[in-house]
Amino acid sequence: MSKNKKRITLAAVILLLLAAAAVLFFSIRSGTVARDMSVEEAEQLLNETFDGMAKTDPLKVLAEKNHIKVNSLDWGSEKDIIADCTVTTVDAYGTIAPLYSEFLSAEAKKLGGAMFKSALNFKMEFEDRLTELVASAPEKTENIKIYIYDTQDQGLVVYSEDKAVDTLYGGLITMAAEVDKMTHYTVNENGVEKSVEIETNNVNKGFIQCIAPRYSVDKPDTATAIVRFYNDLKKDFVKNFIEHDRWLTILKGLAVTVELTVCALLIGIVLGFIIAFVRCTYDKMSKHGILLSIFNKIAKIYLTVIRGTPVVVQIMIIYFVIFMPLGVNKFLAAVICFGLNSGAYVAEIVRGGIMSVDDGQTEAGRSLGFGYMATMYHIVFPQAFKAVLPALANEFVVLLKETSIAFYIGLGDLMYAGNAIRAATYSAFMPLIAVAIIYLIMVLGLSKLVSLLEKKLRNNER
Amino acid sequence: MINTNETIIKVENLHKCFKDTIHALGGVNVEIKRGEVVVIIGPSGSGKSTLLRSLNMLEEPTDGHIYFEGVDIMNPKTDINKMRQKMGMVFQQFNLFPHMTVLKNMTIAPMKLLKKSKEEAEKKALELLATVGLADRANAYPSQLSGGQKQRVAIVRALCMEPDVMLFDEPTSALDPEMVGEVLEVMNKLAADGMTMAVVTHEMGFAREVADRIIFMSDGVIVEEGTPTEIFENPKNERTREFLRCVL
Repeated sequence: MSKNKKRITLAAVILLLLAAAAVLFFSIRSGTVARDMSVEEAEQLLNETFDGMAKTDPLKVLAEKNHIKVNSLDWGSEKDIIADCTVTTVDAYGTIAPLYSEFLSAEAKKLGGAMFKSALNFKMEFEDRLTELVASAPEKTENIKIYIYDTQDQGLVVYSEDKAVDTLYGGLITMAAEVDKMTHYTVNENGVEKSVEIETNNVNKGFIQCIAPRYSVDKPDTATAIVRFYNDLKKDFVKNFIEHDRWLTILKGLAVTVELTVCALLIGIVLGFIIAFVRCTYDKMSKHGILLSIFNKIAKIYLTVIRGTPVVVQIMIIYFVIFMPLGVNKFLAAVICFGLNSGAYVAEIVRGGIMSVDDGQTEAGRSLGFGYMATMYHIVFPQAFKAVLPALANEFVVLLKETSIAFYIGLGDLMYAGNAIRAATYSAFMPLIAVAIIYLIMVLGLSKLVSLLEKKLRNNER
Repeated sequence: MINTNETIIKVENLHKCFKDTIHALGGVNVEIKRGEVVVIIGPSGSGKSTLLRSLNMLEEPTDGHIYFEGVDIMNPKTDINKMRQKMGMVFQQFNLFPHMTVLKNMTIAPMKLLKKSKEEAEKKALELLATVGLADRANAYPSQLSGGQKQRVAIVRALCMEPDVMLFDEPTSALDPEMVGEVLEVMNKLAADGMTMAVVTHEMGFAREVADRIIFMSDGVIVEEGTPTEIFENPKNERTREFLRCVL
C-alpha cells in the first residue's frame, strides 16, 4: 500500500516538475516588458490612473486627499511589474457607514409610496451631502500591492486585488456592496422603530452610483504566467485534441497499444512457460530423450538470440525482413515480435520460480502417483507462479511500455498517434505529455492490480 | 484379514551408484510381506533412505529388481505412477503443498487420480483427519500447523489414496521432541490396523515395540535382520552391537 502511495507521490512530483518546466518555457517564449520604468514614473502612473477614475464629486474629493506612494518596484513575470505602495487615504467607510441606513430610510419615508424618481435623480440629491462627509473623514495609511501590466498592444494596464482597490477608495466599495444587498430600511415612526421593505431600489442605486468608482474587476486575462500558461494550454489542448477530432487518433492508438500488449502477453506467457518447462525438465532429469535434447537446444538458442539483441532491431527484422515481403500486416508482426521477446524474459523468470520450489514438493506429488506433467501442473507451477508474480508483473509493465517501439515499423499505436498529432500541429508538448500520462496511468493501474493479486495469494497461505 | 504369507515387496540384488563412484546400495535383498512392519535402522549414510526411496522409484536404482505385488517396477514399461498410487510415502520434511488447504492436500490426488467425486474424497479425508484428531484443521493451510500436525496430515494424505504399503522416511527426525509422540502414536495405530509399513527411523523405542522385523544396514548392505528381540537383545554382528551401543 505504502509502495503504491510512493508511486503516486512520485507521479505527482513528476507532473509538477513538468508543469513547472512548461510554465518556464511559456514565460520565456512570451514577449518582453518595458523594464525601464522608474519608481517615480510608476508613482505618477498610479496616481493619475486613480485620479482619472474619480467621476463623481465625493470620489473627486477622495482622489484629491489620497496619495499613492510607491516604495519599491518588483518584477513579477515577464509582463508584470508589482508596485509595493503605501496609500494615504481617508476612512470614508467609517464616516458614512453609521449614517447611511438612516440617510436612506429618511429618503424613503419622504417619498412615501411614490417612487417616480430615477437612480440618477437620487445620485444628484445625495452627491453634496456625501462629498461633505468624505471631506470630513479622517486620514489613514495602509500598504497594498498594485500591479502594472504591459499588454504590449494596448499599453499599460493597472490592476490590483479587490481588497486593495477597496483600501484605495477608503472602504467605499465594501459600502456599495452592503447597500446593494439592503432589503429593508428601519423607519422611526412616532418613536417606534419599524422595518420597511424596499419597494424600489432606485434610492440604493443612486447612492451607490454616487460613491462607487467605475472600475473593472476583470484583470487582463493573461495577467500572470499561470493564467497565460493556462490559456496557452487551453489553446494547445483544443488544437491538439479537439480540432479535427484528434482525440480519436489517441483513442485508436491506445486501443492498438492495449491489444498489442495483451496479445503479446498471452504469447509471451505461453511461450515462456513452455520454454521454462523444457529447460527445467532437461536440467532435472538425469537421462534425456533425443526430442528433449533438441527442444532444449532450440530453447537455449532462442533465449540467447532474443536476449542478446535490442528489441528495436528485432522488430525491424521481423517486419521488414520477414513479414513485409510475405504481406503480413504490421499488427501481427508486432504481436509476434513482442510475444517472442517477452517469452524469452518470462521463460527465465519462470525457470527461476520453478527452481525455487523445493524438490520435496515434486517428490510428494510423484509419490502420490501424479505423473511428471501432472505434478508440474497441480503442484509446482502454482507455487512457482506465486513466487515469480512480482517479477512477471514487472515484465508485463516493461512490455506495455516497450510496445511503443512498434512506432519504428509505423504501427498506429499510442506513441504513433501522439507523434502524428505532433507532426500535424507543430506542438510537441501536449501530445507527447498526453501519451506519457496515458502510459503512466496504465502502468500504475497494472501495478495496483498485481499488488492486489499478490495480497490475495499471500493470504491463501496464512 | 492379514495374509502374512503373501510377499508384497521383493527386492533383489539392488545396486545404486551416485556419480559412478559412491556406492549407496551394494546388492540389497529384502522381502516384505503383507501386514508386516519392517523398520530399517543404521548409521547415517548407510543407504537406508536410498533403499526406501528406491522402493517407489524416487531414486532410480542402477541395477537389480524390485517387485511390487509381483510387478517389476524397474521395468521401464511399467506404469510407475499407477504403482506409486498403491505406495503411500511420508517424508522427513512433511512436503505438504503450501498453496492448498489441508483438505485440498488430501483430496487432490484421489480426485485427479482415482477419479473420486469431490464429496466422496472429502468425506474420506475428513474421516481420516478425525482419526488423527485434526478434523477441525481441515480448512487450515499447512503454514498454520505445527510440525507434528503437519506430519499427521502428511500421513493421512498418503492414506487417502488407500495404499497397500506405507513408506516412512525418517518421519520424526524433523520434529521437535515433544511432537514426536503424537506422530508415533498415529503410526502405532496404523500398524495395529494391519497396514504394511516400511519405516526408516532413529526411534529405537518404536522399532522395538511395533516392528515385526528390523533390518540393520551399514555401508549400503544389510548387515543383520531379525525380530526386535533378536536385534536388540542378542545382536550377532559386531557393527550392529556398536551401533546399538551408540544409540541406546
